Amino acid sequence: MNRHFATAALCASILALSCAAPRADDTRGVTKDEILIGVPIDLSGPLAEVGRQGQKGAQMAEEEINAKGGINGRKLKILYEDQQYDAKKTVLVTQKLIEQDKVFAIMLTYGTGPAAAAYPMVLKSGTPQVCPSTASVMFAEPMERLSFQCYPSYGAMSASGVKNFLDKQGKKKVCLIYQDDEFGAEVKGAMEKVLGKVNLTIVEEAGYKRGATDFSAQVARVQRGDCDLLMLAAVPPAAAAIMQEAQRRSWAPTVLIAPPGFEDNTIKLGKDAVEGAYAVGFIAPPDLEHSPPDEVDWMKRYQAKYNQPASLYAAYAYMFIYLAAEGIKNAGPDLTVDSLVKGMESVKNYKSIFGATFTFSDKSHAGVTGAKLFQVKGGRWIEVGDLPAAL
Amino acid sequence: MGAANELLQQVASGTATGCIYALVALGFILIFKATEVVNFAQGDLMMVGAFLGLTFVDTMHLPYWLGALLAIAVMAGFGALLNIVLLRPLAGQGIFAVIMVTLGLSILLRVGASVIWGPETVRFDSPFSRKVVHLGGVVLSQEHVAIIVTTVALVAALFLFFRFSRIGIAMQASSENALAAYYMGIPVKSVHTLTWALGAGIAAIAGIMLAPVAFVHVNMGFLGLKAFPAAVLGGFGSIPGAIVGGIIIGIVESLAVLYLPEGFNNVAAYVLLLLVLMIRPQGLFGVAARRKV
Repeated sequence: MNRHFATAALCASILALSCAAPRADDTRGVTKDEILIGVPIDLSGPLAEVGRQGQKGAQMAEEEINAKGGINGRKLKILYEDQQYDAKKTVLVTQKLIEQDKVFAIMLTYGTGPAAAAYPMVLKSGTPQVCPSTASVMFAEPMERLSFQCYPSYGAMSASGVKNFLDKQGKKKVCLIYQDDEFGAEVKGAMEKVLGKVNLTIVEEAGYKRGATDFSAQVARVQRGDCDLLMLAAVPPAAAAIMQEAQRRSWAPTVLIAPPGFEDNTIKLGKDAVEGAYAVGFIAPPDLEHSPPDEVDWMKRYQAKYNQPASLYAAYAYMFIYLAAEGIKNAGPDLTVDSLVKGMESVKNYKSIFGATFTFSDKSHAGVTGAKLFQVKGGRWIEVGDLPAAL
Repeated sequence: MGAANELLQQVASGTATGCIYALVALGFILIFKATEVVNFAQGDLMMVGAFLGLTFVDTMHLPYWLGALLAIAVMAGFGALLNIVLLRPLAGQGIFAVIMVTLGLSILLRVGASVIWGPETVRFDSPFSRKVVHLGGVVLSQEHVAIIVTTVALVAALFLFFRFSRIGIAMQASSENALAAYYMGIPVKSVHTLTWALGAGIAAIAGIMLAPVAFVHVNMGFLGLKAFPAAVLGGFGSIPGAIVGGIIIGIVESLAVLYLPEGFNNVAAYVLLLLVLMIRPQGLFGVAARRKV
């Protein structure tokens, strides 16, 4: 009888232990004084430049946060793995970060393709994915409990931009040249939605394959539509080449460039052909003359630390590490996956020094909506104003 | 713009793009005919040529034409070196060993270029940049005209070279039958090296011509993948075939974007390739190979 009682007691206590809520000490990647974060990033390969800038921005945020004593007494430790903009490699290094390094969360994964490839595996492993470095809508819709998107989606930003030109400048004939992939399809879908609301359609459209070199036929095709607004869902080299082609044909419609084309490289490559073009974006590129004081201060610290000017990609990474830190702070001292989800969901109107404001909730993990409109003036991007959400 | 002008304009820019495919296919076929090596790195040689041109002209501030000529000469030397160091030791080895070496070379060139010149896309202006020619109602960019004129001149020069120069005739002889040529006293090894030099030099010309239109970046060599269907369409192994095949693919791609519904334009060139091969399996200019069994 006694033996039975002892066995029953043992079983009960094992059951009780296993049923007890997980505590920070048991959480993977979280110790009494450290939180491990994994970042799959491009340190070599085609996006190495962007990746290295992002790494510098993230490192700077990490060091600043740790210098102030960390978050709830724990210091951040970020592990970087080179993914070389190769989705297969991203899956492998993400797996290594989760299984071997046992990180608490995956952050900043660079590029839509790589982040999308690793996404199912990250979710399945029960690891939170916070702020991937891509504006694809797939990381916010459908909503996943463990995924937090910190960019407004390409589609949402493009829709805001198009709506602005319909409302403010009375544009009616909208054309589109788009990269023939998920990103292009997302922009096209969002444009169709926003045009559909006022009974308009895309007048003429032409796709191109990533890596195309000649855009004369695409430009000829949309030129037939005689459009007054030409949307470009294109990366910088393609956007620049398309506008050069339009310039050759002495055709000058109002051009609106979707987010990946909102970059200094578009101006560097397109020169005078892109002058006057508009783009939708999320935050303004760092600019010593025009940025607000907090941001200028950051840029000076960045310049002093790395001996090179701060870039947009450094700004994104810096901002996202601070945003995640805010979620971790809200999670309280008992940091677990569940408390992080609650902590991120209680981030409300968090304002970064770069002007973006983030709000998450248990209904939506898309942390930011709306966009900003920019225009190329005198060979640089000038902020025109804020755009409200249009979808 | 009238429909006829629109068509002419598209044919012209399609021809220019096709000329680039043709030049890559040409270098590829020259090397294949002479040495039976399928050089998968041909597109990447084009990329390195463009970067060299950029370095000489934009970084070292040499005059455009001098810089371009220098880039072509350096690439020709590099091509010769590749043959001596990489390909010659493989003589007599199976086709797979050779294919793996050129594929490896292709990756090596891309990684090397990324280390030397960085992964960013850069602009490389030529004296023709941002200038246009008006022909009736058709507006052609001078860059496109330059590509077409250069290709025609190059093909004419190659024709004369193969027809009338001693070394050109020796190259033809060794591509027909290397062993017989060797017995006739033709230095086949040197001829192979010269062919590689010629192939790499032509790739550099293509790269320098393409750069102002499509910018310079590490992955521009992927355009070389279009040179394969061009070469097959023209009849694998035929030099006029490579030129005509390249131009046809360029024009078909360009017209398909303009006139076919969205989605179909990406496959138009390949549908054409399949149709041609169904009717003429040896390609447009190919000689049907018959093998007794």
